[in-house]
Amino acid sequence: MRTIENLKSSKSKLLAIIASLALGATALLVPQAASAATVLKVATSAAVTTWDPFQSFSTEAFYMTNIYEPLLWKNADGDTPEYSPGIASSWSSSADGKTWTFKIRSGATFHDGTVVDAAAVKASLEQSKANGGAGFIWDPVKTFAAPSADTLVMNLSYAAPMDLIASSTYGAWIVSPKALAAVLKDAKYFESGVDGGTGPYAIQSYKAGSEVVLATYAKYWGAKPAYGIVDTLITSDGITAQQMMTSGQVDWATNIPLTSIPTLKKNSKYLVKVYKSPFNYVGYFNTLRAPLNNPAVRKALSMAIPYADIVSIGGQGFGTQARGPVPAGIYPYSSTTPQYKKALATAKTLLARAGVKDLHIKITYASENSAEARFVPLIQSSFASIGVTADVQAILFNQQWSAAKKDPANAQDLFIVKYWPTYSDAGVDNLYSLFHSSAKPFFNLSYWKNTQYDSLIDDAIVLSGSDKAGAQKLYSQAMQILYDQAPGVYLYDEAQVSVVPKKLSIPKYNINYPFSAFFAGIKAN
Amino acid sequence: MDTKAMKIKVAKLSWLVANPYAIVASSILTIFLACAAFSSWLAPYPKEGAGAPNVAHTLIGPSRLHLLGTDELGRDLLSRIIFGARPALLTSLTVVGTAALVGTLLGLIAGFRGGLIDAAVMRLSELFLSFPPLLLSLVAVSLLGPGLRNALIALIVSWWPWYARLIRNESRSIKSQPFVEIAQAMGVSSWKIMTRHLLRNITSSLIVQIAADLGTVILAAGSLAFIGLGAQPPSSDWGLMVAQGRTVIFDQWWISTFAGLAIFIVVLAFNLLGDELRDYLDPRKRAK
Repeated sequence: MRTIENLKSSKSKLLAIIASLALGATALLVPQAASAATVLKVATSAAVTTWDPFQSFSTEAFYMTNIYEPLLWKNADGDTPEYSPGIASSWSSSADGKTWTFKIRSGATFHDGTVVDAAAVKASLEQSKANGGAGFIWDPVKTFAAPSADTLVMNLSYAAPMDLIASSTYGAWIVSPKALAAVLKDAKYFESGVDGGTGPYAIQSYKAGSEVVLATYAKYWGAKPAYGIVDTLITSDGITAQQMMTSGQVDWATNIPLTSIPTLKKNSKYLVKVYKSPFNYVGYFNTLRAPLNNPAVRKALSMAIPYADIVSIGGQGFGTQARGPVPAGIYPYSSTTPQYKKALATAKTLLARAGVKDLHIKITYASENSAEARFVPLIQSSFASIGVTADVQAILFNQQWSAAKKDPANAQDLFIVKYWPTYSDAGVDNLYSLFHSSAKPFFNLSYWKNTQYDSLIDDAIVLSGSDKAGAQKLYSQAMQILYDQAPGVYLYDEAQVSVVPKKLSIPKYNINYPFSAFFAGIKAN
Repeated sequence: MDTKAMKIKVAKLSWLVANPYAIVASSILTIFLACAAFSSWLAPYPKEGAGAPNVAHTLIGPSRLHLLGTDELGRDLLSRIIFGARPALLTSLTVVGTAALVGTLLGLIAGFRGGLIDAAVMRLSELFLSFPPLLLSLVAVSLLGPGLRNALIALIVSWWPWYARLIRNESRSIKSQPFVEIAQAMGVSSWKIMTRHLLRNITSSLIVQIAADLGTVILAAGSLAFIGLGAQPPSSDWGLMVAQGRTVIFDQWWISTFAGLAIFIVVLAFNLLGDELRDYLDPRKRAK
């Protein structure tokens, strides 16, 4: 008996040990596997200039698209249908394009638990229109109305593409009424890293300038994201971000330098994907100052630009020569808009005919832009070969911009800028903002005034809400004037290059949300 | 040549021969000065050295045609480094020269006059000295905006207090020497006492400090250019070249490496020379 008891005791001890070992192993393995599967670590250069969804007008859009939702989402280039439902489940417009009706989704709630209804949406959009950083996008709207809990009506003063405007990456987020009341009391309410969105993620923690942690919102109306936590490390330096990704410190880096792409292409762990982007490089000639007030001189300089070298060196081959200031892939881009070609002999002849000798000009560019730092010396060198001496000044963009706005007569002669539209309509934005005349210069930094161009753009903007094809014709005529008069030089459309780790499945780049990553769609392969 | 002059010359020569570090430093700095003065003749591709791109030859590694390789714009790196000697030297001389001039003048006045002027100058210099020099330069450039001119101003702002403090302390101790008191009693003007009696006796300390600072300023200006606040493209600044090469360092190592080596060698040469000069100008060490 003793022996049997001993045996039983030994057996039970053995079983207990095996069970504890198994439990220990499970305890050790399961949570690690779970956490490895649910935490996504990302390195990004996207800084947060504000957490206020009404004021947001910069790189924080990277996070905003995961925290907030607009009425509609505009799908990626080439996808059908053109729009997907957001907070609105369906939408329609009247025959004259002046009344738009949006049905508000049922079952959606804000992160603070408040139910999303038409009144909340109306209040949010009214605040955006009145005080938002990109509030001007709602200019066509005369009134917002909420005739029932699930219906929002926009009454417009002129026909406008409200589906496009309502899906903007800036100024169109739907914000909780509680957060709206809080920010009206305290303008800095959002800045500690609180949110009032409805999106799949909410802000869990924020360390200014270094880390943003997002956690899934349990009551999100849509599909549950694969990653419960997204830990984003703000890493402005691309080389550091690259090292973090290749060493496994992060799963994905969104700001890999273009110069590193050839190396990463050879690495079997990564896929390099190239997309059209809304980014376009333009140079403004100072049309107020002689001899640049002469279109022939501007044409001559446009013919002295080494376009192919600029794409090859500045864009590292990831881009195409621009056709005017509208980037390829964004309305109203036209593949028939003519382009200048580098023709130094013709440029010299044009300058001689215009009586220009020993021309000295000042070029400014944004010192923080590495592509501009690479290609501006190419322009300087090419100008030198037609007898034009260019002094190049690299200054911070904000200083460059302030100087250009302050005193146009004594400002730069050629201002290089990287520009992109606020939402995916480069007629309302690029063509208007960059070259439509204005009493005081804002982004019209060529200071150019052309009444024919102005009226074509004004008419096209009004027409684009009801007759997009008709508006396109007017825009094309306007772009022809930009080519003929050359108030600017149209350099190149930058491509978006994404380096995707093969261990992840990442949604394709969406040109309509150029600074964003949609974390909810990321899965482990 | 008289015997005394001959003896001094021999003594100087024997000191130089006995100090190989001084020979190495002097040789490096002679090459550096030659590069600065005759860059257009010494550089194998002078146009590229001055900044002209050559897009057909981008990012070529060291070879017979391009001994140190080429950069992102296809420019010969050896030519760029030779052309970079002039801005490095000019930056260093401008900053150290101006800082030494301002600092010496203020330090002399403070040390000789004492009282309220001394207190005011010293408190002001202590205010500047309470910040690390590079941090102070960073703040100044951030306010003024990036660029070589603003970087020079920023470096002068952070460098002059060191000279003011050194000269003030030295002149305070010399001021109490009998020969100064006699000169004052004889009615020699204050300006003459400051320049003929005080400054002359401080010169060796000043020279040692200047020699040491020439290298340090090259390093500081390079650091500012590296972080984008100093010289701007297409300038042939060594710090800027290190920064530009950094973005391609995994594949094209030669850009940052050789530009960094140029800074390292020149700064080392200035430091060695400073050390040797200190020993030479110190009568106690020279006697040994």
